[in-house]
Amino acid sequence: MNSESRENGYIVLQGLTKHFGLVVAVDRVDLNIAQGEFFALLGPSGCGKTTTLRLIAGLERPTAGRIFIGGRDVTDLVPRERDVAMVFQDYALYPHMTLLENIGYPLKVRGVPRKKLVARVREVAEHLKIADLLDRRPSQVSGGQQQRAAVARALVHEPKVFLFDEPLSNLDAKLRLEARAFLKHLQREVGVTTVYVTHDQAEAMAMADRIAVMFAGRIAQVGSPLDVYREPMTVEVAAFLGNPPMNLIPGRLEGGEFVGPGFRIPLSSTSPSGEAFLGIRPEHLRLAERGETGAIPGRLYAVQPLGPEVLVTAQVGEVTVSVRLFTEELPHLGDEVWLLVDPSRVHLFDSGGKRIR
Amino acid sequence: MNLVRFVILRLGFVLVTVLIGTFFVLPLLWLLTAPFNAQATLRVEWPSPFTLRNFGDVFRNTFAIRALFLNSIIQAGGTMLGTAVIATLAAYALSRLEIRGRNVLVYLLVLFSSVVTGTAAMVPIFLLLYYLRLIDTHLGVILVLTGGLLPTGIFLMRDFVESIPRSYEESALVSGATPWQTFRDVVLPVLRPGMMVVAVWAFVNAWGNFLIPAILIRSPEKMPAPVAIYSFYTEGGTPVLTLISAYSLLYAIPVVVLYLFVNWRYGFRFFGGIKGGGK
Repeated sequence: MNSESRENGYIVLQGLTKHFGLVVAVDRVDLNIAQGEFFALLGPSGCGKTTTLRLIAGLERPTAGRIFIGGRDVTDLVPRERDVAMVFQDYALYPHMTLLENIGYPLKVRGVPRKKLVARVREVAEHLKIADLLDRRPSQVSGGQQQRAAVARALVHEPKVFLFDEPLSNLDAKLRLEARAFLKHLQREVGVTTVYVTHDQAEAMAMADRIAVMFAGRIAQVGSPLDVYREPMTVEVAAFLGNPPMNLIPGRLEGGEFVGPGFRIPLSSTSPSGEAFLGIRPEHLRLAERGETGAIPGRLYAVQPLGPEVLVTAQVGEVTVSVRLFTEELPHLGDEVWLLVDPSRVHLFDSGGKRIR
Repeated sequence: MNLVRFVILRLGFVLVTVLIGTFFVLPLLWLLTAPFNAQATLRVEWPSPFTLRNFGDVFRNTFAIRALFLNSIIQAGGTMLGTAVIATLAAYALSRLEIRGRNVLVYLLVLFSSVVTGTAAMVPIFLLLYYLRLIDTHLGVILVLTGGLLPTGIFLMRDFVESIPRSYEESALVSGATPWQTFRDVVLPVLRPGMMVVAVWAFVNAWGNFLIPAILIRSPEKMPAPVAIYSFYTEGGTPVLTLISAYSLLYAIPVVVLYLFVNWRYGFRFFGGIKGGGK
């Protein structure tokens, strides 16, 4: 899962564990995050990703394990000794301060003289296109501007590490896309090692160099967005990535074939027999003619035209299967549909959810 | 038919409201008219003959004036300061630190607070202050009043503290602030409206308290206004209404001014929450 040695990592987590009473929020997490990397922690709510981030920031003390930043063991250091910056989900802009004072606060507590502080804040604010708002209060600017101000405050003292805790979740859909591009561009530009927490798989895929997918306090998989997308190591990861997510059809492996409800698919490699899941992404399915060999029979459930593509959902046995058709024309469909898989794109998972191939 | 019903209901409502309103307004009207009446009675009447001599007489009573403009200000002001500062710090600690059973603690405090300054505790309080050598001192009065007001003050402040998102403090800590800087720069300014509410509330309570200073203060030059008001009684024990009303009006002014000031500066609210962070 994680073969890099500690020397390669700028942020290194070793056996990091955090208990809240009886709840294990973070469970023996090992991670190596390279210098300058944009690293996303992805997972459903309650999976421990935010706790992991807060452990890196020093806002929580680990129950066990060590944290290294830039080769220095920071496990027992308070936040201000770690030289990191964090952007919070609610931005945490102080309501009684102007944006100038808000953004300048990290400089103020470092004893930077007022003149230098104002100059530096102006510089950062100009860069983020909020320079004309500096004498306003947070409540007097829009959500997108608040978000930029929070980012500016993280940027202003040139920290070693950026920590983002779902910074885009309070923005509406259109602004979120803009902010995504803006943050990614900004991170490339300043080159600061970034840990980004999100539950939005599209956000993680779009922005990060590498992703760690977390479930129940443990890291299920680490890799580049495309690796994790193309080769999910568990059923959970497979089902979490992609929109709509990967189709998972329960069935059996028998003599080199996958046997599902009403269909058989020959597999190129021989696999052990037993219960299994067939995983196939919606874009790797296509509609077939009735009775075509290897076609999966299903009952049409819904057809959703999305503009550049059409999403077809069908009932196959007990599960629903989504098909993405890259066509602008609505297909003429009867009650019954046949779906053909691309055999080279098939994923197989054993009954425990582990990847077989 | 409905219209008749509506009118009758409406009339009934107005009548009841007016009755209740009158009940509360009459004493206030008396307070505003009687001081200017040379022959004030307990009735609300237009001052005739109109006079300002009552105030002149009150101001000649140096004991009562000293009580109002020095002793009461010291005792109520001290109580206000003590209660607001300690309640804020205690509420912050109670809200942010993990203390086992802290909710029980807070409720117990509030429950027993009425006992502390209540009549029932007067003897132990007197003895305690006697051994602390605080009888007949401003400090003694301030400490007892503050102690009595603190539990409710903490309770009120806690609501304000709880309404501050923890991310404010956390972001300050990550930004490089020490815990003390975080409290001073981020928490305290956001809490200020709440502190003002508690401060005014404490001031009004101390300003109007008769029992504590009446028991703890021995020498006339340290007595506050609620005690000194008895100097406007004749030796036979009958109140001199002209002077009492004039003194009462003067006695009411600081509280009204304080309330107006805080309301103008911060806006009164008895709940937490952050809306734009004040003016």
